[in-house]
Amino acid sequence: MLEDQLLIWQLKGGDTDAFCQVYRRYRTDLLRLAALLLHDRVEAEDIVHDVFVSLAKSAEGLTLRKSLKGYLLTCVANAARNRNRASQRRRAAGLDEAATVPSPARTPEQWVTYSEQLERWSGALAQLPYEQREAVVMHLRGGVKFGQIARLQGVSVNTAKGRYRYALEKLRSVLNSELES
Amino acid sequence: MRSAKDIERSFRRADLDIEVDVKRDYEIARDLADLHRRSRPCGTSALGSVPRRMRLGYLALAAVVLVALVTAVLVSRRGSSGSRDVAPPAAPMSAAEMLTVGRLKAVYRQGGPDALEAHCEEAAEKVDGKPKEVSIKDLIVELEGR
Repeated sequence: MLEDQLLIWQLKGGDTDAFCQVYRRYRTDLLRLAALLLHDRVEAEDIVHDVFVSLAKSAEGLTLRKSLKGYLLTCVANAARNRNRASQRRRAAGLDEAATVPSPARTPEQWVTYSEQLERWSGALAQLPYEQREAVVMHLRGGVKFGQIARLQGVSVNTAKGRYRYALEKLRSVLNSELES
Repeated sequence: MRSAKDIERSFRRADLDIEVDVKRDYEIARDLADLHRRSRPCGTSALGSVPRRMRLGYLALAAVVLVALVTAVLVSRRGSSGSRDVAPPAAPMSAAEMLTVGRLKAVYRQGGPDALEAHCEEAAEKVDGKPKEVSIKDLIVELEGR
């Protein structure tokens, strides 16, 4: 926490080395979270990049109440939720086919390689409703408490816990059926 | 068959590695750092980057230190000059206190016969009368004799 505060002070002072340090320290954690939440490599890399761009632009006015990692994870979770909503709207409007047509801007640059386990968990999580997925990923991999998950999702703590339990049950059935097949 | 607890444990402990291309990663970090440097307002000093509340704190602290310094200087000056030039204000003395041998001796040593006479007259005024029995001359002889 103290180290984070020092980094923030250096960021506010315009220290580019401090920015690189923040980037190198947290980029893989953020990419992992985004990949688990979205199960889309390009989208995950996009939102992590966007979060760092936002940090670069707004570091001057940043005030940190918790850890820097917690702050960045929350930013990624919010961005992932927004992307998910946007893709749901596109799907509802029948624009999903158009959205999946590869365009030069969306060409993955393959600078990130996910492990087999990450791909597997990400695939299993993709079968859950987004809110349940978010609850289980944020709690188990982000170390976020249910109270904060509830605030992020705008629901009560009990609802967040319920979503977590449903997510685990669904994951269990998905992974067990994978084992059987 | 795995239970929900097993799933929870294995997901929490899963080794979800990510490898990044070093060269591309370096370029991204450099671009972001450039953006960070450009995003900083021109001419912002290190103090300028401090939040407003902290800036006010610094100013208040500076004011307190300044006041303390000025007070210390003034007190030390007054102390040193006061001990040399200005006598501490004397408490009003009664005629009896003014006419003790110690007091009379002190007045005589400091101001001589004239001061002694003035002192005695002042004491006499306090008791509303002049000592007729003892003249200043006799008193001086008496004081020097002791």
